[in-house]
Amino acid sequence: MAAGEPVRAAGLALSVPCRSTAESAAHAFAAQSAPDAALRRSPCCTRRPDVREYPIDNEALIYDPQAKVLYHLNETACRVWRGCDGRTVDHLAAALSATYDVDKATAAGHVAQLIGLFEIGGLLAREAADAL
Amino acid sequence: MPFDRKPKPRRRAEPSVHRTIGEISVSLRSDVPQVLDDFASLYPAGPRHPVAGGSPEAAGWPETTGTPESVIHLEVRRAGRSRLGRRLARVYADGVEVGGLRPRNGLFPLVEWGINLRVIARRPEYLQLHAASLACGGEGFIFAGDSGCGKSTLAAILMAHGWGYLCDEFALVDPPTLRLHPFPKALCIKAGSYPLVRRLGLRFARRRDHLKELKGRVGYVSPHDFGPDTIAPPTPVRFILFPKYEPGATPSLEPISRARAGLDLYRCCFNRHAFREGALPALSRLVAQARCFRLTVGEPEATVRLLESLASEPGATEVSGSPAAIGSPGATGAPAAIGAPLASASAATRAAPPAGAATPARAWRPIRGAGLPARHDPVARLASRREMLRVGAKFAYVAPTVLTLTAQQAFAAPSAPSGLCSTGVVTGGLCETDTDCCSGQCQLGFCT
Repeated sequence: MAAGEPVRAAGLALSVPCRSTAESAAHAFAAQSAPDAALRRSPCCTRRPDVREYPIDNEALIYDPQAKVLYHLNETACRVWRGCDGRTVDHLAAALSATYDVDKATAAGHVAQLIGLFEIGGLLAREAADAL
Repeated sequence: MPFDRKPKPRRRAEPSVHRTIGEISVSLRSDVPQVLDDFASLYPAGPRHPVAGGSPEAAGWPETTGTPESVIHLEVRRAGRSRLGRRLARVYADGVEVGGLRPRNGLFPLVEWGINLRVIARRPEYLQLHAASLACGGEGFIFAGDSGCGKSTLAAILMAHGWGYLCDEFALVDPPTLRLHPFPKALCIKAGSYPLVRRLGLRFARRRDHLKELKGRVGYVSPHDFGPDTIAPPTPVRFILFPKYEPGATPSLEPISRARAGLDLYRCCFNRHAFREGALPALSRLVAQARCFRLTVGEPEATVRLLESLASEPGATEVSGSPAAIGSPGATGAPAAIGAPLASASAATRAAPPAGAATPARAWRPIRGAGLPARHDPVARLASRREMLRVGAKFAYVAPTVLTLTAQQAFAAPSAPSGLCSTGVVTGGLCETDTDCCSGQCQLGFCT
């Protein structure tokens, strides 16, 4: 995806800059969306069991049969989605930071943002969404 | 003396015409001779055999070929005149009206649309994509996109250069074999492309143009005018492209991920409502065996050269791994998207190969640990990834992104809605709503 391309999710249009293109912008983005400590440590998310995943290469399509909505997840989003099994934001961010060339704070901001999008899309189990 | 004048001989029109389009047989009955003549001139006469298990002659239909599922009955009936005195008619597909009243120059596009509608309803065994499908050297190409993106014109250009033709409107994919099947309909060319088509030495059927909703003036070119062996046999899909015409632009190919291509193809799938979720596994397998690009269509000759170089490049039939980027150098000195500078540094990150790698372009690249082997097959890629993790290397980070496609978004391109009517009350043959909202009311057979 090109840098700055709008990311549409359930009516939201967010512009997610990439670190590779605008490192400072990414840091600013992460700073704006950095989750608070309580959120980062709480068990945040569990995937809805009926949402189907179709992995393609390192990415995936996920289909919500209730809302009849198809989502395309890039590689990073796919990792976060697969990690949505009750882990904390901190845990997911640490996993990203260990794999990719990204600092933990930036990753935590992006993970929180992404989980927010999953929640808005109704892709998380109800009790997990309530916990958010 | 007026009474001595010989009566003007009335043109005796054939009341009905039967033609075979690929695996589909079409019988057209009309009391408007012009429509019959247009239809007969575009499609060659096929063999005439009785319909299995039926007697269509009793109902006035000509003999047809194939099973009842593959025979489409169309009818055009006169329906009086407009207030301005224009002669009007209606089109029926298998007994159901398609569109509303039309003047004569708007009838043939509606006949063609009626065929499309019935094929969608009658051939649910195929994954039906809104795409042009062609073949080059035994490699199947899908050019998917909304109406007006240049599919038909591109198909005409490629056919004039010897490519095999499957269809300019449908990509009929057989899910078990993932092969494209031919449905060689006449090419529908918009008025803006008339000069180009004439420059290619093609002629429009009966040198006549028609009025089509949303598209305006269109002309039809018979695929059989391109030569006797123009129609390609069933072909495996190797390339999926999303074309966009930009006048004067340098033709270029931008690799996209297979998952993104899957999302965009799902949007172009006419009968995904019939497959329900079954469309997604089939689409996943389809994109997994193909290489996927966004294509900027510019000058015709350069576009053909670009696509032929793509088809003939080594590894064209490779069935896994990220799409390789080839062509002119990009901003970073790494190979860029074919024929064009890199669109962004992000793309550069994703397209840049590791130093010393023999094959470029992966969805990720090592920041450290350069010199590790780059391979296309996923098993080797995972192995090298594990190796890199063992030595402490990391990968370029791309922020997580989510792209969605909702039922409302599907078939609702802002410039040219190309969806199918979902209610059975056809409004002009086109509808911006999605077929999923039909709730079983549709009498045209779209619903399951």
